[in-house]
Amino acid sequence: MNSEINESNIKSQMRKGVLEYCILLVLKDSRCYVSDIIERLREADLIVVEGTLYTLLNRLRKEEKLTYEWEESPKGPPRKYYKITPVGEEVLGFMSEAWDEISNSISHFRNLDNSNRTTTEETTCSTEEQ
Amino acid sequence: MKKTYNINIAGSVFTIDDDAYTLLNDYLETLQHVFHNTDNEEIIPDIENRIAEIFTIKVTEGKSVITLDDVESVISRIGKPEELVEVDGTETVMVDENGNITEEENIEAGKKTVPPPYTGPQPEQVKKKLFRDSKEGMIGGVCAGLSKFLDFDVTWIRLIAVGLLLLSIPIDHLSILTLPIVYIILWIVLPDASTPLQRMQMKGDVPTLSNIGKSVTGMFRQSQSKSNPYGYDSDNEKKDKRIADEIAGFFGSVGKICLAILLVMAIVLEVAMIVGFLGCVFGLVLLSTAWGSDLFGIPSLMDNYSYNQWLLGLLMAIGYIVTFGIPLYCVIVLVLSKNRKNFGTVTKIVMSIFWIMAFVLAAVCTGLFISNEENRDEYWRHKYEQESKTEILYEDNENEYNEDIYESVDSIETTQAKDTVVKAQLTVITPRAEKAKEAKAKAAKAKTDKKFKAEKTKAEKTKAEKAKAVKAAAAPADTVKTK
Repeated sequence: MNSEINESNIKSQMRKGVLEYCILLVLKDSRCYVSDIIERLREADLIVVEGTLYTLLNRLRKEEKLTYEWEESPKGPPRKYYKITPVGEEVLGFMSEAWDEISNSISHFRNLDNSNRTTTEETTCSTEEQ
Repeated sequence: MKKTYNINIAGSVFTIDDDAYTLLNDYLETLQHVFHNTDNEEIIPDIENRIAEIFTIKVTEGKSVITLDDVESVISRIGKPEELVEVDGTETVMVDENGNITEEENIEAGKKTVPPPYTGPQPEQVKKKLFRDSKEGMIGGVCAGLSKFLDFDVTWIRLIAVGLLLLSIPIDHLSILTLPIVYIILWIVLPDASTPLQRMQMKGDVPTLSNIGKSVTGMFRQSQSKSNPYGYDSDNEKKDKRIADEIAGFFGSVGKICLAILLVMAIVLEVAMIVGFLGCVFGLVLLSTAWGSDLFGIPSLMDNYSYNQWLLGLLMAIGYIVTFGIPLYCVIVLVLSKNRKNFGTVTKIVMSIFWIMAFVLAAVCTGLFISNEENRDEYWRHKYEQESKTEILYEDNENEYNEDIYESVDSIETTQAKDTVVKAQLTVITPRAEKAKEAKAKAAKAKTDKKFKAEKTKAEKTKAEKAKAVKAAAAPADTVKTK
């Protein structure tokens, strides 16, 4: 039971970091309603429950990275359509930069790992010449 | 077949099964705990909006009633409460005395958090709090709550309680009212474990948000399996408790005492009915005596009592009828009738006001009536004693004073002096014998008058004789002249 929790914990912890980034990316060029956003995320294999999204969107709105407007809908109560703000776009820029940096670092480690695989030997981390 | 409710979410109306309603309500309540922060105040309306939308879609697709499955699918879509808490789930909720969540900086959903420093293995259970459990209790849930707190079986606690009640019969110093009074006090003082958080505190589960969330869905499944598949009985049981708690909560503490007294009596329902019935009948009989009839040997009010008592008796009768009639009516309508109507708020207010007025009226009038009766008896008894005492005095004194008066009358010439002497004699008498005094004075005066009259006639007689004699003497002188 414990390991199960840890696994999903790992995933959710990682996702938490990038979720904000993803939302800003989704809203970069279009205005979306909550269930639209969820749909887009699902398409990208990022599964979240709506409740998480509501809290995130609420926070982003408070931080003025997003804004919303009401629209009447034939399917029931009026909906909030979210779109990105200039502040949000700026933050998006920073985030993209940060992502690229981190991604490079990780790729670096992984490439190193990949290249070492070919020798089928266990390598040590020491830099001492053998 | 199930009962349904009409609910209103985000301004839209839906018809929903009662079990689905319970689950939805618990879910929304738990979300209140998760998002209680003022920063998050828009989230719950957003979620409700979303729920309304999902329901609307289902309705347009042809479903007329929202079922349990629908609610469960909504919950899994929006997220179980423990999923919406963005911590590792072991954060404990801080609660103040009223059960409200106080400090919670780490639990704001969506923020990245530094996990709290590891303080050792988390306790499986925290200290239990004593609540009333009205969902599982029979009357007010006092025994059920106690059983959860003490970890005893409910039935044993109830048996002990009833045992206490019955023990009062052989034991002299233990009053039969001890148990009802203790029960009523506990009912008023102990809070009811209604929200999911309170239920967890009652059972002693660690109140983390993930536990609360699990308890919402888990608890629901549990109660589902326990309940009667036909659903009818558990609904009525719940309704009884809801009625009792509703009415009790509305009336406040005083009302709870009255209601609790009524309900404790109504364990044997017929007893309450009989008492109410007899009370009303008594009141009606009393009322009829006010109009001059003579039922059951109760003396007619109109004929046998003074006007004040008649009025008091009338008011008493009205008071009794209403005091016994209102609870009787409540018992009949709420518990026995097939339709099981529930009273509106206004009706409750009006009935409770009238009941209190009638109760006070009956009590006061009864008290006045009885005290008036006692006073009246007292008064006549007093008077009787007085009169008998004065009669005795009169007889004694008469003999005494007869001789005195005669003596002093003989020794003094003038009638005036005689009067004053008589009076002087009479002033020695104590104030009590006022009447006797007057009577004596009269009697004395009559006697002196008599004597006076006797003397007067005597004097007149002698005068008349003298006059005669003078005439006689004068007459021969005349006869001599004419010769």
